[in-house]
Amino acid sequence: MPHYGSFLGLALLAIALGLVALIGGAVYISGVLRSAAESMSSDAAPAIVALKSIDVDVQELAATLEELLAGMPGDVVIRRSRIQRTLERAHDDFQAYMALPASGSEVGLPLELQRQLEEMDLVARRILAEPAPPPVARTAGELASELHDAASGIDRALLHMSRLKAAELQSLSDRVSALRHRALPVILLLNVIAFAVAVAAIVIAYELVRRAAVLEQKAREQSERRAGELEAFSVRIAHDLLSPLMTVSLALGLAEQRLPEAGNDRTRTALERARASLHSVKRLVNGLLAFARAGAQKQPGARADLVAVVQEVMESFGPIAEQAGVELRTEALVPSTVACSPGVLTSLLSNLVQNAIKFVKGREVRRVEVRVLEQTSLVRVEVEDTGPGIAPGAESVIFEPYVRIGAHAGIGLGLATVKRLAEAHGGAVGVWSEPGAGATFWFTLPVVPADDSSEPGAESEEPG
Amino acid sequence: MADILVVDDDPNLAETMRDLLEIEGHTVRLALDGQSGLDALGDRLPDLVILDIEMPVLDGPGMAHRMLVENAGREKVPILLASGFADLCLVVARVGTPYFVAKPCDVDDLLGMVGRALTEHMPPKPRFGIEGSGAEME
Repeated sequence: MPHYGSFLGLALLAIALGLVALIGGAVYISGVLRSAAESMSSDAAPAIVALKSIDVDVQELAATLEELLAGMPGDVVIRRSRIQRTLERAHDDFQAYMALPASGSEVGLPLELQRQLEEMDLVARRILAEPAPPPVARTAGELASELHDAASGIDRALLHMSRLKAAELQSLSDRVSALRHRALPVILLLNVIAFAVAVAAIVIAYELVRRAAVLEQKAREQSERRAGELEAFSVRIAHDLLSPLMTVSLALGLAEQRLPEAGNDRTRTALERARASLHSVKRLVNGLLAFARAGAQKQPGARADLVAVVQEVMESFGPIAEQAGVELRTEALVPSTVACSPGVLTSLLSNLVQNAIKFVKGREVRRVEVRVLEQTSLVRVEVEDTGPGIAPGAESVIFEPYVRIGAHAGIGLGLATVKRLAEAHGGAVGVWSEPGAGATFWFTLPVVPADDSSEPGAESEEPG
Repeated sequence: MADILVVDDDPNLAETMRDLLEIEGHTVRLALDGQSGLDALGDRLPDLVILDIEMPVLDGPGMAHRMLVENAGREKVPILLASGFADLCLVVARVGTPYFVAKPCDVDDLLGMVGRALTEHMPPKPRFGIEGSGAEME
């Protein structure tokens, strides 16, 4: 199936490429967004906070210096130390701001701020050098005015820089938004790809399972067909072989009759040999037929009345058993219905009884007993004989085709047929044996509950 | 001494059986399928019908069924069924005849069964309808 193979290959390639695109896209977008966020968090935002700190410091400084100048009530020493501390803090905050990564837009602004801060520093020291309040009013006024200028200068510088930083932050935020907008279709596409990949995978999996199921179904149908063909073939063979064989048999008989009594020993012998060979052929053909049929599919809904069939088979073996001096017994017949056709059940039992009769020939005690036992969902039919038994270890091999037991005639298909038949109908076969004392061959078949409604075609025979 | 009808689609076999039975002194007619067999019955009723099972046009059980159903004395004619062993048991029970031989049998078996049938002269007694009609016939 070249088309199927390349379709599968292309589909798998598409899935792989799709997955690669997914991963690559996700990595790219997250990388870009991350660098923007980093920029914002490590640069612009801390800068604004630092500038604000300087602002707070300077305001406090200016306020306290004004208090001193104005001679407001309160502890001068405390105020002076506070001013000192605030100066130092403002200086530290400025250093902290300078430590942040600089952006290109500021250019000379930090230096301007530094200059303003130094101005303020000078003014503060001059105010501190004077007693508080300064005795000369004009000095106080001058100092107040310089303080005000210095504070304003710082304010302006801070404002300027804050605006810049805010603008920077805004532009970064805009860039992130823009990126997100641009990314949306990409993300959408990636989601679609992911969905398509998932769907493709599901479709492929389903298709594979479906094809496997179809193949399995075809294989099953083919084997059923073969079984049917084999059955039809064997029936044809039977019909075509057996009639000519019978003609040969009768013709031999006729020829023998026609021979004058005297002087034809050799011819007579030849004819007898021919007849014996014919017997072998007959056995062979019948055995092969039964074996071939045994593999056929069982009919669903086939049913057989166990007791009736057992009685019938035992009856049919009556004359043969009598002739051989064999005692036939049936015991413990449990009424049950089994899930196979009467023909199959007859075949199973006949095979075993026929074997049993053969086994006990020439023995001191010649008895064949048939028993029926009920198990959970199975019924078990046992055929016990007083023959020589089976060699230990041979219990399973005797059920294989072409294995003969002892020196008995036949090509060894009887037990193989029994096994095949029983297993085809959901049952099993086996044997127990005590070498020297006999053997019990058994088979099991599934029972059907008495009220099971089966298809027509079931043959139930009423006894007698 | 008896009038026998042999119905079998194998001409070699049918003729050999005829030879054999004629040597025994019987009158033998042949038919190669069930329909021809019925036609032969129309001419005159034999003392015994030796019936093959698998035949074209109309098979053994089919012919037996028609004999049973059409009456006019045909239901009283004894039937000796001859066929391969696998089918024999079921069909014998269906048709309800005690006379049968399994192909291939030898001369003694055949003549023995023929002798029995001609002596006992038992007509078929199907235990249930042939061809599964389900009716009980006595």
